[in-house]
Amino acid sequence: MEEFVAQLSAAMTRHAKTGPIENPSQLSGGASQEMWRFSADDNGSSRDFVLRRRHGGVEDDGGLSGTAITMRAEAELIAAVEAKNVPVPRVRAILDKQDGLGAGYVMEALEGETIARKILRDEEFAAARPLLAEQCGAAMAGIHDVAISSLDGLRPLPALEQLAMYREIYDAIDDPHPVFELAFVWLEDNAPKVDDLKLVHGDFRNGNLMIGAEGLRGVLDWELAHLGDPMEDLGWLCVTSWRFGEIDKPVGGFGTLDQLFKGYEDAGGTPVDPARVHYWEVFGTMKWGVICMMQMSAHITGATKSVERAAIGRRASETEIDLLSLLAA
Amino acid sequence: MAMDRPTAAELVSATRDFLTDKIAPELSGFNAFQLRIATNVLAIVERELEIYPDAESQERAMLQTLTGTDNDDVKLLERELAQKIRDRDVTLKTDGLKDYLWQSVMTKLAIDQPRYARYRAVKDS
Repeated sequence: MEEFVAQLSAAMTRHAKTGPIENPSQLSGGASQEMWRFSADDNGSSRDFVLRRRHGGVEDDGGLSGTAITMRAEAELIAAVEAKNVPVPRVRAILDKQDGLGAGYVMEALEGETIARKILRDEEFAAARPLLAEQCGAAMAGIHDVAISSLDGLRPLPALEQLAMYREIYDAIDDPHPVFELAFVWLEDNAPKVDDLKLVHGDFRNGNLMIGAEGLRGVLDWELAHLGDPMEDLGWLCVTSWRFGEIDKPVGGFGTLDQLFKGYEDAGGTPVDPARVHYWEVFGTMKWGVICMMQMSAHITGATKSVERAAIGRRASETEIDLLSLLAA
Repeated sequence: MAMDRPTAAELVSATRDFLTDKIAPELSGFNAFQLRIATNVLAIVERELEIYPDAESQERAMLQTLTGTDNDDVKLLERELAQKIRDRDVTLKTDGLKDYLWQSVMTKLAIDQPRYARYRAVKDS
């Protein structure tokens, strides 16, 4: 711990010109990343920062093995979208070998709320809710406007390639669901042909959005960014699972499609194709169902046993009723 | 032979009540959260024991018609239907498919997540 703090202090001084770090505490991160929060003197006043690094402080492995991108690519694209006025945490340090901390980066901490149920129900966010769909549309337009030639290490993932990925995962679990089969057939037959691939966030939804009383403060969790159909981001935000019970508000449980599309087009996004947004909503619903099955499978096979993973297997049926509502109403 | 009372559902229910009433108040943080998931899981088991037997025999009959076989094993019948959909031999235009899918999914939700908003909306419509 002492060595870690000393290394992080040195890295912050070297990259971001801050003072020594104080009060480091570990946050609950993902399976593959570690997150730390700490403060440091930044040009005369104390500021909170968040370190995100590979679990255990190892170097990037190229990133293309799974769907997640490298830490460096993640940090670089956050900086690139910030230049397009997308609200994101400001990146202050990208770690390199000299820092001895493994692959990772440090950003300024954002204050706000990410828990969907609070954002959708608490009085504190009542004024923000009617603004969110338009703000999300504007943020997406900024993301999709980044020149992709400036980005390294992002995988092109048009609809049919992603479909093949999820079908492979689903087939490997070997627990056929007629509703998912129906969805796979529909998704194959209706896949949009999109030649002009854009930077796509890949996980733009409640839980990854930092919200304050005035609305959207930051788009977080860029590890699933890729090159793809820009309508993918719009459709994923409309998946019923992200409405957390507010099913009559199709955009994230807080807004209308008109608001989302207006925000997108007013901010300079190309005209929205509602049919493609619908396609990606269907795709996203299938995708979340397959992810539920994956979690269940990790428990059943003993890879990572937990009652939480077991229970999520029984949430795949939620996506089945949503798919039937979309495809066989 | 019939098993003695309590029924399986009654045993699970007694266990769930004990965990909810006696153990949950003793826990906080991660374990309190995990216990809530565990008691939800037990509630799923109770509903499955209550609802599934009747639903299974109804769905078996529908699946036998859709697949054109008289196999008794619902899991195998469902596997066969899945293959036929994948091969496009059975589509939404096929008589009975839509009814079967809706009925089976509504049964699953009644067991898995009866509070799911879409389930309640469809049920009330």
